[in-house]
Amino acid sequence: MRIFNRTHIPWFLLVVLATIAATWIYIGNFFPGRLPPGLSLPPALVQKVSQHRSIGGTPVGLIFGSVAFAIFIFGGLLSLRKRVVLWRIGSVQSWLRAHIWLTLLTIPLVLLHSGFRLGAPMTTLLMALYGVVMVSGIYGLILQHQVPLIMKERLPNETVYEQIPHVRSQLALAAERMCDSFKANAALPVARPVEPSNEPDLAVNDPESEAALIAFLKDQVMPYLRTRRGHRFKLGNTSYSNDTFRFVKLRVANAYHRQVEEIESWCDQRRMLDLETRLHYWLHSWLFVHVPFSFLLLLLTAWHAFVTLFYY
Amino acid sequence: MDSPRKTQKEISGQYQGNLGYFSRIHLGRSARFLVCFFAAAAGLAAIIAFSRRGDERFFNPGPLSASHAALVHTCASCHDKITLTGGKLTRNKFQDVLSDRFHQGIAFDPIDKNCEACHLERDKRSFAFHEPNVVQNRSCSVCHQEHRGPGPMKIVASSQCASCHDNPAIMQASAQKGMQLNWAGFQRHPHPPQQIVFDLPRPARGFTQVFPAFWDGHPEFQLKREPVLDRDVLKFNHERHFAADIPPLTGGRKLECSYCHKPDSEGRYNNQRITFAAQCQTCHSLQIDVQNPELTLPHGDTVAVRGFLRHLDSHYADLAVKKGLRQPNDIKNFVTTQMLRLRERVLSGEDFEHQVFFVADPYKPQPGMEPRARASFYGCALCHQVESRANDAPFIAKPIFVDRWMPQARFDHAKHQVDPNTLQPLDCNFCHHARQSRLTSDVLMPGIASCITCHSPAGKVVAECRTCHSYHAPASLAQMGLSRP
Repeated sequence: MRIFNRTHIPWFLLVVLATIAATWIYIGNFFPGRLPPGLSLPPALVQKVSQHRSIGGTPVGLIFGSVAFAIFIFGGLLSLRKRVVLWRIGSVQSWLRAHIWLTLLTIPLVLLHSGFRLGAPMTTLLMALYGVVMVSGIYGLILQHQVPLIMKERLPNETVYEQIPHVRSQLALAAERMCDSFKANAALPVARPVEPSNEPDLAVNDPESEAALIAFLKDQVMPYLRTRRGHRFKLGNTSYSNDTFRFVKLRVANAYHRQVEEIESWCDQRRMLDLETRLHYWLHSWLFVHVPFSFLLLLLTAWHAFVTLFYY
Repeated sequence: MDSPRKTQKEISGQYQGNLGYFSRIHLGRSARFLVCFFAAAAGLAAIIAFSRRGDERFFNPGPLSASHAALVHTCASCHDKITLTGGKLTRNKFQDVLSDRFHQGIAFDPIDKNCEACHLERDKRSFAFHEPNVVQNRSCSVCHQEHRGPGPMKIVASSQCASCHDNPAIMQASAQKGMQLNWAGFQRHPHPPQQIVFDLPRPARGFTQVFPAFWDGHPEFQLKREPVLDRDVLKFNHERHFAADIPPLTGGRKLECSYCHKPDSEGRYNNQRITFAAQCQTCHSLQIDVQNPELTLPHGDTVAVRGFLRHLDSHYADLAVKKGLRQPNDIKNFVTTQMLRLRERVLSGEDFEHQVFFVADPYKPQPGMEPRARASFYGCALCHQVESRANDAPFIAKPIFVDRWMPQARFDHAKHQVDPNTLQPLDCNFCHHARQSRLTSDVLMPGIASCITCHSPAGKVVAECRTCHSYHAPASLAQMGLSRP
């Protein structure tokens, strides 16, 4: 998701204005002497004189904390919204924008609620969890902004991620078929007539070239196309691959160059699939930290709210 | 990657045979769901386990002070679970608590009640709260802040006092409330009955002037603000007693403030009252005969003085015995000689009696005498207002020595012995200006400017409200409704 486009401007302004308003209310209530003349709070925004030394326990502090908690809950609902795509309560895009900007707004709200203190081990733990969630979220936001640009540039034929294993197996199957066809040709005593088909063109039967291709397919291409982790193979390296296929072309007759190029296109596609898998991993792996910690934060914040409101 | 883009047909072609992929379980998503589930489950389990057997210090924002260190494992000693355990948490109760918290903040009432209950049991006293005209009383926990670290409890910050005393609205309301109250019988600073206190009437608006700090707007002390005079009937000239001709005391010691004004064992100057016998008599021995300095007048009772003078011959006889004369004739001769010499100085017994009571300057009758001898001579009117009474001994009003001049505050002289800036001994005169005082009516108490010299940020000496004042009213006033609302 691009974060610098027009649709985000209202959200950005909302967060900035809300932060300024919250800071104004905070200073006006707890440090009124620090406000410049003319900026003092209207009486409606001044809480009843509180005896609390902890900001979070005062009505204003509780409101900051409650708004932040409400945003946490809303942020948690995003995963539900993504699962139920057909809900008519705003598009997922809108939800994501709200998720990003409202959770960024929690940074000032949480700091003002805490009064810039960590407090008890419980609240320190909450702050640590909140830090992990926010840092992982911002990291994810940066990745979500950068990785699609890389994919657009380097993956002209993006494959549906869930189809990658299927496409990979298809590539391996095609290689096996070509290998089998060369073996069948080797068993025939004479050349067959040329037939237009999708099968490799075997008009010219050069046993040496075919043997070389069979060996190449068996030794390098098929293991590469079959494996789950292609980057460990030499053909996973673009320049090595280019050099190899140039060399293979030199070893086979000209009539087999089309087959060589086809094999090369499979390897190229396989490399793209590997790159896509890697990028997809970066694009989503941060969620393994962000989402569980978010739920944990939500749970412990609810506990913190309950205990402080009803117990301590 | 320089592969050409594929057509839609080519792309869809490669997915053939796998179009039901979305209905299959996706490993990554499933793993993420499981991680989330286990995180939430672990969190929930931790909460449940904690509420059953957890160490409540987990919620402790800071170590308890030494005063309450024993309660560190029993949070319920202060934090009452009444909200949770006081019956079932119904919907209405839930809403009430939430509404209260968002209007008032986290409640201190349960904690305050526990403070009061515990201290009532331990100290056998209740804590009355400040003054009757207070419009907004404070919670115990606000001033006596806990969880601020080990060691002694943090001292009450002046900002707590300033939160009301620097708030014009609160002070105005307090003044208004105070004007409608009957202050008779209210003694904010009670004192022992034997102690004489210079108690000025309460100002019309009470003590409601708005000010932020002692050095910044604190009202001038009442006895300096108002035209106050010391009404003592004793005539005393401080300046005269610092004069160069004052003879040295016994042992060659110079007469200083501390000779008369003595602190008690706790450094307070209001418990050791100056007496004639202990302080004045050293110099003013009330001698009547230059040749017989041992013969001195009694002090404190004019009738006794008159009786002494009228039986002077017997006192001379006693003196003769003390001097070692044993034979009646020797004693009689001694008495006769002394009486005749006395007769040379006075016209009659009445004249002598008048001189003793009404001579206001005993220095004059003894010209040329040593200063010490002159000072020791009789003359009640030197220090007292003596009124003659027909057919009776003259009347001398008893002097009134004020023990406490500023009952609204406390002061520790022991902490004011050294000038904090120069580290030199601090002269009493620096604050009291006694060397410049000639009249008894002078009130030799320092003004606030003298205190601010040191007790201010510029003077670098602590200037907290609690240095001089106390918030809590005496326990006896708890019965007057001065309890926490």
